[in-house]
Amino acid sequence: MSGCVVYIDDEPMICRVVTLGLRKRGIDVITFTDPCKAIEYIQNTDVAVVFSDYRMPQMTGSELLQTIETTAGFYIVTGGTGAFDDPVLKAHNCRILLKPLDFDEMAALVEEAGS
Amino acid sequence: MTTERSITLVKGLSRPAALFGLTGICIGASELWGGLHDDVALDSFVQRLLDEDVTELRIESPRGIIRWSVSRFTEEGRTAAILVLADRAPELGWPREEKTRSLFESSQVGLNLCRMDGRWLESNPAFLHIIGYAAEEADSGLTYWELTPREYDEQEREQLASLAETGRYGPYEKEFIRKDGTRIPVRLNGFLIKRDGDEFIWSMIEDISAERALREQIEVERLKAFQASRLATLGEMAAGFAHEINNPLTVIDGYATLLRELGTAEDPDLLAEACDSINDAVSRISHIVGGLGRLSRIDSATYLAEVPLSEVVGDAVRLTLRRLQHHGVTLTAECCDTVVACQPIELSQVIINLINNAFDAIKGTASAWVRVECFVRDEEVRIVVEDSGTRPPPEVAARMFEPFFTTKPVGEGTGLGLSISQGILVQMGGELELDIDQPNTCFIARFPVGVAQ
Repeated sequence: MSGCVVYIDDEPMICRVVTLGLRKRGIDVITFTDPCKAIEYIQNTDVAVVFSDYRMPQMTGSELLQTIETTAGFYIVTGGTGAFDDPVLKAHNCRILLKPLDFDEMAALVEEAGS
Repeated sequence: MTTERSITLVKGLSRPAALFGLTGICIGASELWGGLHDDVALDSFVQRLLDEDVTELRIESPRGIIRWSVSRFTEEGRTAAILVLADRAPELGWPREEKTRSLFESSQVGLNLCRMDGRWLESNPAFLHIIGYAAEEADSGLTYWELTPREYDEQEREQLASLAETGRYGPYEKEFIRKDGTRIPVRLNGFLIKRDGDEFIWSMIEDISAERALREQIEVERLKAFQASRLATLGEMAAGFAHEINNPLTVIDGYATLLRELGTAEDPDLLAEACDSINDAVSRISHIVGGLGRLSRIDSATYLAEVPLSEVVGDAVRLTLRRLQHHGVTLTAECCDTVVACQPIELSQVIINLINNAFDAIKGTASAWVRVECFVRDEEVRIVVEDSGTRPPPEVAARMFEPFFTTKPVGEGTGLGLSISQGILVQMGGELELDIDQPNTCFIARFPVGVAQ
């Protein structure tokens, strides 16, 4: 697989458990609790898949999507429902994953992007 | 010359009484001089009629234009003008008795004259219509009291006291018992009249059933609006709540999954059991939160798909049939193939929810059954889910659509099923209701067909 996997969530514990869960499935994840730092990273690195939380203090996942210019697979992760009504996400036909997360599902999406 | 239709004017006599002779006799005469405020004005008016060559006079009055033809003659050296009423407004000269009679006969307000003891003397057609009796029946000894339900006795005493004290009663509201035994809500007021040493009561009676139905309708709408606003508030809370809960749940669930996968404990069975329990608990909480989340999306715009009704209903029945059969509950479904505009997944969720509710209520009872029937009537889709259980008591029926209201044992129901189902139907422009005319528990989901047939 070319490019890495990025996970963005303001909750450090979720970043940690996602790292462990995906590592168990043979996938290395770089996590960010600050979306601004994530943007900088994504724009300067070869990224294959981005998972981003929807509601974060600095910005929403949809704002993040608008900022980055990437061809990487982009998925929103959310525990709420607001993301379903987001026009930007709708326009990008962006898939939304619900919390609690399913590591197998995430791994499958990463695999899809790699093949 | 003074007749009913003419007036003679003679110069020099300026007072109306003198001018018109017996003025009261001439109908319309008041309009003739009504615009002349003083003697000077009247003088010049008479002068003009006598000197100028006026042949017609038009007087505007509230009853329309009254036309007088004017002619002059000289007699014994004095010039006089004769005004003849050329035409008059049609109502002029209508005998008072006839006028009053037509008011009595044609009025939409019920009118009734009765003695102090309640015996009726005279009723107009409107009143007879209200109470549903023929004139002969009302005249042959029917009394006010026979038609008044007993629970109004106290109120009636107050009104009679008011009549004795002030000569008037009402307006107040009560009911009459109609001839067919039904009751009709009315508003009454009236007054006392005395004649030849005897006392009578004139009453004016209005049928207020339409007004009352409207008031009840308003009350129902108000309650609905209140319910909707409460749901909306709860929805807002729920959206934030869902987000807050799902984050820690993600952590618990993630670690539980990892724990099972590590599988390094001394007792792998116990570890697996522990992990399963954590996962189950999380999924239960997450399910509740998911329901709350849907509640919050009630007002958001949604896409309606056009699908055959039988497909949606079929899905719901297939998913529940096995469970019901397993417990000996008969499930029958009858459905038309009409294509309707709906949110198919949500709608089948509603049906599943209703079937499951029915099942929970009747499982273990003898010859338990659930019946689903769908049809289109008056451009409206109706999905009926009925079961063999008894209709819920009014106190449950009144609250069953409230979020978190449940009659199921703790841990078995979230109390959200019916409120979410209601929300889904409202979103599709319809509503979910309990059919209170059925002895069994029977829910009806209604929504507009919404597609060109």
